[in-house]
Amino acid sequence: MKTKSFLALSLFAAIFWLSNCQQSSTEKLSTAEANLSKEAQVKRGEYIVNFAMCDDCHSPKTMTPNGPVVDMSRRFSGHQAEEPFDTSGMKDLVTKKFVAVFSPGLTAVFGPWGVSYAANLTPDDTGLGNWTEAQFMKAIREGKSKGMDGTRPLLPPMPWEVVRNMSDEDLKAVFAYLQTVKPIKNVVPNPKTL
Amino acid sequence: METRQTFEKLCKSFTVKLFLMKTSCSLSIALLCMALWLTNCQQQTAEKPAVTETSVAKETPVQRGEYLSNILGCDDCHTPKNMTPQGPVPDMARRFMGHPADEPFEASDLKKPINERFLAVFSLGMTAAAGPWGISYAANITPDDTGIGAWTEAQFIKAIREGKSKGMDGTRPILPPMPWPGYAKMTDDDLKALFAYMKTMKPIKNVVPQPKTL
Repeated sequence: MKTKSFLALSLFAAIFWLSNCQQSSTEKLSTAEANLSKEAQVKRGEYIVNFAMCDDCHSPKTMTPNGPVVDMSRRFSGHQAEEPFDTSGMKDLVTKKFVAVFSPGLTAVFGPWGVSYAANLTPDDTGLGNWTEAQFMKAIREGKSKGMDGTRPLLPPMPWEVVRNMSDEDLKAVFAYLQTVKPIKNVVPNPKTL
Repeated sequence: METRQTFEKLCKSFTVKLFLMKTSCSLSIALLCMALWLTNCQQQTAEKPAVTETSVAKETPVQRGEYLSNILGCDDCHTPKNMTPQGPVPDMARRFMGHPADEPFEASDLKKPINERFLAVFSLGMTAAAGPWGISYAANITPDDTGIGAWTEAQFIKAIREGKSKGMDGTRPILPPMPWPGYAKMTDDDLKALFAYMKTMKPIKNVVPQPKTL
């Protein structure tokens, strides 16, 4: 009888300990995972954004003796609202030769579709500030402006048909990183037709 | 951990004792179940990180390289296009062969606007570009001798990291619009994966023209 009660007690203790074991292990993992994943996600996004050269079109350039250089103080703010892009006399060239002409800072392009301007990717209200992750995914996966149905398509040269090959994980990381950069107020002009 | 070991020892000795004492069978079964459950609990915690590790490791360098080449858009410039009603589409039969040797890109009449307005003009298939630097043609990146067939991994990494043509010292710089300063920020592992993938492509003979001045 004594053994039995002792065993019952130890069983009880074991069950208690077990639930404790389960709890602490899942808790530990989930908090650690969440912290690590947010930080790791932003880092992963930064890595991708840097090598995928979003700067080529989405960051204004400063002219230096070594050619155009990304102006980091205006990074990802897109084509500047006040920056002119002189396309006069180029219509024939673009329509007959079917070529694309880039502005000196590469933020605006004149092609057979008209003139397109690189978007503001910073988390300002004039950029991606009030975008949801789902909008970003839709914009890239379906080439829809603002990531919404019924909007115009994203125009060339934005290579969304290439960027959409990214895994969900990578696209989400890119969005997470873009939400951490300095917000810059800049209303990018709407595209123009020929 | 120590408590667990002590508990397991206790558990074991109890189980043994129980069998020796031939007491209630159900209790020993309960204990056994508990021990099993315990090990299960331990296993789960240990397995979790291991599973994520293996799912990452499952991707081979070639698969990683293929993924990277697809998200970078190497095709944009290095693969000739077919003209379709939907616009230019990469011709996968000629994938990565660079600017076709026999495809003309006449840009002499663009000299004035390019130099005055500092513009870059792409050819129809995007395999050639004219800019203030002159005319550049996308390289053949298939593993043919006219491409990267004879390249070493070290050459490829040097080409991307330092922007040196053929990845060798004393050669001309890699010209725009090749965005090597961006790719230079890739990790060694990712660059090696890209190279490994390129080496698996169909070799295509195509001697890409040398860059020209405008």
